Amino acid sequence: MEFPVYQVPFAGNGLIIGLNAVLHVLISHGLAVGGFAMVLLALGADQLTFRTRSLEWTALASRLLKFVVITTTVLGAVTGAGIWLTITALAPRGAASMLRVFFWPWFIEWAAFLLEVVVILRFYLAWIGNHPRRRRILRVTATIYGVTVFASAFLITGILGFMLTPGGWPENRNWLDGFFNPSFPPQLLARLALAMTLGSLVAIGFTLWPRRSQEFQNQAVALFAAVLGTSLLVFIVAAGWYFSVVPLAYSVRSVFSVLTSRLASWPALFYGGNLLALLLLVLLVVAGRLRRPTLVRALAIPALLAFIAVVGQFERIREFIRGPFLMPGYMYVSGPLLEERPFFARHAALPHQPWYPAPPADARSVTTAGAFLFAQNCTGCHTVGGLNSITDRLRGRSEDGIYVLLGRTHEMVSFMPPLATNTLERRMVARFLYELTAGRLQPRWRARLLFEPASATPAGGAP
Amino acid sequence: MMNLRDIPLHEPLPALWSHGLLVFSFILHFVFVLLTLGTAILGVFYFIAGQFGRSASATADLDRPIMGRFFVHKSMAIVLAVGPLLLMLASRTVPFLSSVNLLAPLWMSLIVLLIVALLLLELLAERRDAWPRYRVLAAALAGLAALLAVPATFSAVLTLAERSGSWRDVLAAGGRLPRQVALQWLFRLLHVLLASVVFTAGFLYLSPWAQGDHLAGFRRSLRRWMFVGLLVQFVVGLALYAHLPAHPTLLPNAVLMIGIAASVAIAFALLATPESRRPLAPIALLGLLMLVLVPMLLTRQLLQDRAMLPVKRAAAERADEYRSLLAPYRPAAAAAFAAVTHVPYDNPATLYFRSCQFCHGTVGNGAGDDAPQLRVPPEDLPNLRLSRPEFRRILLAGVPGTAMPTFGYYLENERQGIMDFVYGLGMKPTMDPPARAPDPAALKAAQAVWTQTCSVCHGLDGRGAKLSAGFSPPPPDLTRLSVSTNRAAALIAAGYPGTMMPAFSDLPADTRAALVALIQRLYQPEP
Repeated sequence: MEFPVYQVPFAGNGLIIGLNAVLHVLISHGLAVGGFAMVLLALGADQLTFRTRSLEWTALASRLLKFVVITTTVLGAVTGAGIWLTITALAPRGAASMLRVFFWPWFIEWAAFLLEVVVILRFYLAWIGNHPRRRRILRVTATIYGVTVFASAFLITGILGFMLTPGGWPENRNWLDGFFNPSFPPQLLARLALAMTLGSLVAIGFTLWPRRSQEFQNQAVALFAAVLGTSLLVFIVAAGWYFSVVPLAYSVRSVFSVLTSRLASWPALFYGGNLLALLLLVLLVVAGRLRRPTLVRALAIPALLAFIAVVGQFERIREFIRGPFLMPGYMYVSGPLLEERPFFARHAALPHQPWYPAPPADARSVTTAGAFLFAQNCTGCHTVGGLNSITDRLRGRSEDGIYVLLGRTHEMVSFMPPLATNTLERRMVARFLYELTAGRLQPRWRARLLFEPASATPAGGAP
Repeated sequence: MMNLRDIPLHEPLPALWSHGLLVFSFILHFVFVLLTLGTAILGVFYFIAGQFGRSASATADLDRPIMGRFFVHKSMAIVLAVGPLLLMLASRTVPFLSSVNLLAPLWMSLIVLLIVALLLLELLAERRDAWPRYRVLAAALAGLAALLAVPATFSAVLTLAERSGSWRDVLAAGGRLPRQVALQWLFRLLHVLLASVVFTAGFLYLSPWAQGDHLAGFRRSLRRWMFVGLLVQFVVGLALYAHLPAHPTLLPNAVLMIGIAASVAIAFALLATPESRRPLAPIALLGLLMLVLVPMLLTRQLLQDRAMLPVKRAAAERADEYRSLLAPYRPAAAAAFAAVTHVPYDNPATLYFRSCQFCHGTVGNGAGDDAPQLRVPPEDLPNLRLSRPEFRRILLAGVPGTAMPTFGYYLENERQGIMDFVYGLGMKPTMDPPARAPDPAALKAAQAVWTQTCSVCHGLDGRGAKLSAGFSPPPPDLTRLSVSTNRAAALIAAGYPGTMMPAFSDLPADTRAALVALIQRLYQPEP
């Protein structure tokens, strides 16, 4: 690959990228879209339906708006930029390649993002300020905001959808074909519904705390519960539609992607857990509509947490089941290109790695070369001694066994990419992994996958 | 310079476009960076002056409107950063991403630094009157420190990106910058921080809010910030110039001169027109500030281009060569893609043929394609006698000392399906009924062999001896795992290749047959 490998020790790269991204999804969907929509709903509901012009609606909208603005402009904006910060450092080849294909949607999305932040700040400053044309500014900025938010969602969803269902892109390399892909419409709908679901859950929380008059609280919760019920239903339908569009070869991995090897022996956890989450959410809708304040109070936080878990799973499944590919038909999730595998099998991988220093020809250089190729091929997912550690997977295997398994990774496990090397290099990787698993190597610089032979005498041993 | 290669995909936009957009979006971003840093520095300064200073009443509450501006500027600076970032990534891919990767932990820490900085500085606005002033001060200072670490990181990444000659050294030194690069970085950072103070003081000085008569003292103070900032900037600028990797050519020098001339003009104007007599003309000051900012940023861009573009061009040429090397393999890649998309792993047969067949073979007899590669041959499954719970345990744990891996990544129902499939190939959970009772004399001889020889490794009870526990692979627990009569006879006669199990062909045939019976009696499958 064109860049050196850096792997976050213990946690691994995927977890770091994922944590930042899920936090960003929760804020961008739940607050920037859903939360802001609930602010508008609170204002509109007061004026259109209840006609009370009560201070309580305004107070609720104010508190929610302040939270939305501060959280989105700090956490939302930073984690949004953070997606680029994490992927450029941890998956530079993938990040650069995705950007070269989808430069224009991303660049236009940046303009939309910029406009979003400008108008939400204008809205907020007009809200807290005392401008003579305050109402007009609020109306105009809210409208522009709605348009830009939709544009953002539209542009990003096309790119995300491509990564699982690339449309005709693998054949014709036309980015518009990849952008308007089969899972694009259901995913866009699912994301908008997800945003409203999260937003209404947050709004219910803001209605309950701090305590407000019982009558207002019941009225407001009932309104947000109606939004919650509707958007949850749309989300479930859209998610079902989404998974029906995804090819079976990918969707069959969904349950595993949530449970991972650690919990794969208990698939019931997945079904039971999500059923429980659904139950909590439905109960909250019913309690809110029936105006049962005690029940609503008891359910609000668990239901919010349950839905956050659902959102986390949705993103995890989507990112995981695309399996061996980062860019379908072009690049494996680990970095090598699909074309590079047969090319390296014939011409060797190491001579085509600009960052590989030609090592001296001694026994140590075999494990150094093995470690380098392991870093290039495997560290997108596997750590050494941390989460999803390769040594846990290979403990007890013989060296020839490791060699054979390395040649079959992509067949044994449908979501694993193949090792892109020739057979001699595969022997080097096998030697490295065997020595590593046997405890005969110790990290010199874990993040760069540099290892050296473990010292013969244990540290602190007798002289 | 190293023989680096660009990624094998074409750039998405023509060089002229990316260059123009980069210059434009970076200037826009940088203006807000300067204002963000400047409002934070000045906001914290005026908070301290107002709360703790000697003439506190004159400067009291000045931090409030300044931090109000910070609230807007920081959001703009962050959002505006993404545009130039995308352009750098797309068009200066190798220099920029190499540097980012070499400084990866620092680069990613920006996320934490920014969140900490912005939330702590938000407290200066939010909790200013609610909290004790020392607590607010502590939060503000910690926030400011975190905030200043952000331009420190960015300038480190950009400085290193322009120094391709030191990349190998940085990688070898564990991410530490060589001295020359570190010095250039330091002066660059100081240059940015001083610029932020000068520009923000200038913009605050011009803002309508600062024009009241009661704020004359504040305006004087802002002029001091500008003046002193400019003076120090001349020194730092000189140091930075001296530490550039190569002498700038005529064009950047000429553009730089415009900026320096404008700076001198501002400094002179600040001296010549004291606030009490004749305040600075707003238009003139704004024009001069722009005449400093734009040439300075253009100089920066010219220097950056001179350092990065040759690296980029050479890398692009190598990418072209590489692309043509890969081109013949595109059909093979398409076939590999189709193979994944068209084979759902949703049935036991697929799971067996993909996960097991390459060792155990199509009919499970251990004659898979990869079997010849293995020192310990794959198990002949139809001849294995294995209870379901034990089978499941092996699938979860693998067999130590062999190629048999863990299949912990199957869902439980998938694992059960695979087990059904393998039992379907002929493996049995129960032992075969004995063909005929062994001759008592042979049985006695076999018993003696078992006790004296076999039990050394297998243990008297067949569960394995202490001695053999460290073997790779260790002998199986014969009470849990066994083999068919024929297979047992063959193993005793010929040994088990790749393991410590030797051939016992020297034993009389009837003793061997009796040993088989003896061993099979040990098997006690779990229900």
